[in-house]
Amino acid sequence: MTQNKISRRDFIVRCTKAGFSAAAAAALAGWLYESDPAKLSVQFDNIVDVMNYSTPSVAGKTMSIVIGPGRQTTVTKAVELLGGMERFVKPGENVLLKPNVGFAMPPRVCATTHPDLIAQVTKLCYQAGAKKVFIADNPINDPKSCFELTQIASAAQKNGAEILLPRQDYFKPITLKGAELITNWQILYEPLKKVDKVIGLAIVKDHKRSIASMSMKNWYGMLGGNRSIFHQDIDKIIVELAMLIKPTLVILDGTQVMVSNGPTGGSESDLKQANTMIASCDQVAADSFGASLLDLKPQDLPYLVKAEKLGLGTTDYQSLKPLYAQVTGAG
Amino acid sequence: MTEEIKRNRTHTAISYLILLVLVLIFIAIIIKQKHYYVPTSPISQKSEPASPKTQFWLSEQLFGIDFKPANEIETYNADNLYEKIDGKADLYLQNGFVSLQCRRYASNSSQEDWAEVYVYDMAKAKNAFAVYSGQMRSRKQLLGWTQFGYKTSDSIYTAAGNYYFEIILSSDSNGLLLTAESAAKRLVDLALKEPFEPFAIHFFPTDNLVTNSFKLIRKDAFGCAEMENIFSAAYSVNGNSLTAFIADTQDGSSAQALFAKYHGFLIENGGTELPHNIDMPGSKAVELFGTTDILFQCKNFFAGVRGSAPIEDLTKLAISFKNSLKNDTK
Repeated sequence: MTQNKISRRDFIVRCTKAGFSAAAAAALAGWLYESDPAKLSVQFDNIVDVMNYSTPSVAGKTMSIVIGPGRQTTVTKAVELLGGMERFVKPGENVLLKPNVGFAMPPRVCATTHPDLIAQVTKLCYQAGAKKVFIADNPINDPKSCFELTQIASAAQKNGAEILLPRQDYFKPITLKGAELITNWQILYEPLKKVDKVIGLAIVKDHKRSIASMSMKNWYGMLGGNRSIFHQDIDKIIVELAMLIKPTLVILDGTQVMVSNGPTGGSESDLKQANTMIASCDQVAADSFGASLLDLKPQDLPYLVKAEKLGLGTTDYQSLKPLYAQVTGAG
Repeated sequence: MTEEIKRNRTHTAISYLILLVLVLIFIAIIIKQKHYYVPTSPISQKSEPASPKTQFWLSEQLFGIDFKPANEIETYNADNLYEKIDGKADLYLQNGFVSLQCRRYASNSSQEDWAEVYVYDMAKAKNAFAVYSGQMRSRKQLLGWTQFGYKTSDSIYTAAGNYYFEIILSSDSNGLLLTAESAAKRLVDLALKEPFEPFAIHFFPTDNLVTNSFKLIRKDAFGCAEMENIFSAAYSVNGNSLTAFIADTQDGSSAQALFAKYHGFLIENGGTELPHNIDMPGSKAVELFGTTDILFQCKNFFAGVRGSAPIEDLTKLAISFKNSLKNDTK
């Protein structure tokens, strides 16, 4: 039987080597360890300028206002007045509809975009030759419940639109050039990346924080993360979102306006029948008119004033010479 | 010697193996970190478990045998209330909000008929009354069976004890509304320990008073930051809407101080002092943007009336209000 002997010298050398290896491994681990996960995303940060989905302007066809009780007929007319959906969506293009699906509430309380509007705009996009229509939002409440209870899911399904429920890998940290708040912040990016055109579908409603929620506030649903921190600076984040996303078109539904207890409301008693549909290539102008449905002036909404100063649109919507029409169909 | 070489080779192989494992761990960490989702998103947050009391209140049987719960009880606290009600959270947070529990109940026969029940724990009856009165709908029908409650065509709202309840319905079906009203009764019975009387209700004159129009405004009443804890009531006089209000002040000096602050606020914002000859020593009348305020102090109270109405109507209500305060012995 052979005895495995090791000299004292060898033992000390091996122990020293082992010690150095352990220390080096620990040092490397310590150097690589990052306790703040937020810092880990820096290497994936996308610095962006505006995400521009707009189409070339056509003189005299920037904004339309249609009066009538039925969303499907008023929105069709409003888009037609601006040159039809063919002006905005070309054959083979992918389109993203961004409704307000914030709450898991029935469509009757108008806390969310109405499914009739989703259905009709989806149809118009396909009629114009769209390859695919997607619908996305990052709701306040559970996304699946929101899309189902608002009946937006069924409207989308019936008309061939695909709902992109927010998933973690759809979000990406974005830094907007010149922004103070959208810096390395999670944005619902993948749906925007998939498409050629973006159409905002918003509603006019009272909002305890921002006074009014309309087309510009609707982009709040593209934010991920703990976005409630922006409630302290709501006007600034609304303006920065308008800087980030220049949509192809916004459609602002003022058929039934939530005039009290917004943004959730909860009852038809919070609604006023205003029978108004607005389509606009200028979201500042659309919201400036929308404000009047809440008995507000553009100057009452600081984010509109700021947006105009930054050249994002005009609060003087009359200067755009909006096209007016009245339709009678209830559909 | 051969054995020693063999042993050394084994040691070397083991060392390489360990190094390989470490490299694999290193690569795995890098890959994992690449896929971090940085801030917490609402979609990833879980609400807290419901308390035993609320589990009992929002039981499976709350809506009777024809309905069943469509989800588990959701619980929200002051940190995540916005995830449920977004911008309306401020109203509750400013009024002593403790927690919200809610649950949706769906009809067994039609999934399209459902109701969502919201139970707000407001810590005090006064807080519950403040959020209840602050959201009063104009088109409503009062619930005859409880002190503070009303229904609309598609919802029910009531304050009982320290709680504020809302039931939101998916349709305006009369059957659904009746079922929801029965559920609301059960909740009120469970929550109501003793009737709550907002301190000022009995001070307000009853002539021309709009029924159930009492409000408790906790902050920024009439746009003035200093006007806190103001009770108000609406009046309808000759077709005009008037508001009478009284501050919940502790003593005469704080009432006087609030009087001065609110009067100063009106003047600083462009208000004009109106001369008026009424039998109310120490009162002041200010007109601002078409609304006239008549302000006065009585005993330990600062009070007033306001509205876009002829000064005579405002004065009459102010005198009646002051007399009511003077004569009050409660």
